[in-house]
Amino acid sequence: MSAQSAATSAIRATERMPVKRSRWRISSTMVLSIVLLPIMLLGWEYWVQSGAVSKTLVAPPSAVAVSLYRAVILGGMWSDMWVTAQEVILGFLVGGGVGILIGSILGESVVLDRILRPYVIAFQSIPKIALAPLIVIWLGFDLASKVAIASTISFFPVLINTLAGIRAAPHEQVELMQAYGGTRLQTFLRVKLPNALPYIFAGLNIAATLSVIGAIVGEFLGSDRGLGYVVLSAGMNLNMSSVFAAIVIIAVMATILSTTIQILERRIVFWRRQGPTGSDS
Amino acid sequence: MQAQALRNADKDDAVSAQFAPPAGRDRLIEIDNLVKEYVSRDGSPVLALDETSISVSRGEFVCVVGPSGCGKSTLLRILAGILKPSAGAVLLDGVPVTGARPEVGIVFQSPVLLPWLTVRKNIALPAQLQGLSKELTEERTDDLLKLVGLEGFGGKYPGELSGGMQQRVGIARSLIHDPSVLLMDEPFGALDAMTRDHMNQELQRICLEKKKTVLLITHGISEAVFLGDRVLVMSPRPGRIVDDITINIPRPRSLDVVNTEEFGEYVRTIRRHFGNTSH
Repeated sequence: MSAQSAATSAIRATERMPVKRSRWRISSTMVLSIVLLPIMLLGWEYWVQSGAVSKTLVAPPSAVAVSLYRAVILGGMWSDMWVTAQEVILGFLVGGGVGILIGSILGESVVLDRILRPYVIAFQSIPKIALAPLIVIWLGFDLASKVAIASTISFFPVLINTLAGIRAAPHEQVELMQAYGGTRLQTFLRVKLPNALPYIFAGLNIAATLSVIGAIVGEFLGSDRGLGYVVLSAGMNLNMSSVFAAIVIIAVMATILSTTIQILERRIVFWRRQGPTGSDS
Repeated sequence: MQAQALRNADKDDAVSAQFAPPAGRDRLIEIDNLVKEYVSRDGSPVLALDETSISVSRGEFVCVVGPSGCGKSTLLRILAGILKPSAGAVLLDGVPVTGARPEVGIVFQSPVLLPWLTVRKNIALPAQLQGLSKELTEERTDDLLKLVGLEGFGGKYPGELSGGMQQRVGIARSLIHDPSVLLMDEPFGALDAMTRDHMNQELQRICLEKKKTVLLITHGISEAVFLGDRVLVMSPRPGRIVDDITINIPRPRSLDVVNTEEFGEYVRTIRRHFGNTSH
């Protein structure tokens, strides 16, 4: 008895838990990349102030900072920011949602995939942004056309990633569901969809960037508000500091969106962080 | 061609007549002249199983040994209702197997746990799929965690467990719906030798305690002799049963039994079928 328990504890000792790595470590490369920003801004300021380039063409960072202050703190661009944010978020949600839905259906049904694959590939090869003028003509100058453009260009990477993710479900897990009488829907929801989540999030990350592009291009083509409109109209008036300020705000908005997605991914696909030993090892 | 078939049939009859369980005993698994043919990628047919006949009595622990690629796993998947046979009869408790059956539990080569579910939820999965009540499932999960020595690990995720612990979760999962038959496909093949010895003992204990009928597939000869009431020897592809050896070693068997003369004799008898090419 005691011999057996000794053997048991010896084996327990070999069954070690994976060691967790600490997530936050400040490295010298991080310090360098932070220090780089003020150096670049100072260089830019000096470049403009020294007269090497006309102030009419390039705004110095100091002027951009003043414009940003007016736009964001004093509220000069609040309504434009709100308009663009709506377009981006709705475009992203519609594009992502449609992408996940169609990707799931094509991933599940080999027959449908075979029938529709040529059309999918044909659509993939169209530069979607070229459809933007058409969409504006069809849907007008309001929110709808921008959302349509943003979702049209953002849904594709989500579709392709979802499809790949659904197909990548480990065969053993699918067999497990079959062996215990799981239905097709149960197998999809409990095995295939969770397995596809890392792929879906990778697609959503690309879609976030693309939906910002879509909204801005839509505003270029026909709009009287939004950050894209600001870039265009301020540019016409050679108000360069406003152009730069609007671009900075657009970049920050895009960053917020993709950071949100990454945080969500870390929350939802939590098992991916638990070390190299997955279920299929 | 015909002569060959006749000879095979004769041999089959001889084997099954010689090793059939005594009349009147309850046959839980009956496989009769099972044939499984695949179509390979290049379109040519591949014969995985050729006229395989097996019968397993209720409460028996039967091991199937054979070289890699002899169709052992195919056999198990047909019994589990995952694959369809090309020809022949497969009966479970007298009823032909046409799909997944609630009286079957299965343990795969790898643990096949879902990494997004806790250990408890992984164990409960078959019960949920078969619509068992929540209370019963919870109660059995508690019992099974105790049985496989994982008390206190119910809330962990598979990624936090070692390989041996994961495979124990797999075994607990295969028992949650109280199946009468356990099908095991090289369940400890991926584990190191020490853990594997330990798991084999645990498996023997669990099966004695739960009185299950087990069909275990392995390529480890001594593992088969250690665990089995009977050991069936399969030929290389196309797989067929070439020997059926009853292991008369009393239970419970301790690890020391491996060093006895009779154990060695059983292992030698089986190994003879594989010549020098096998372990």
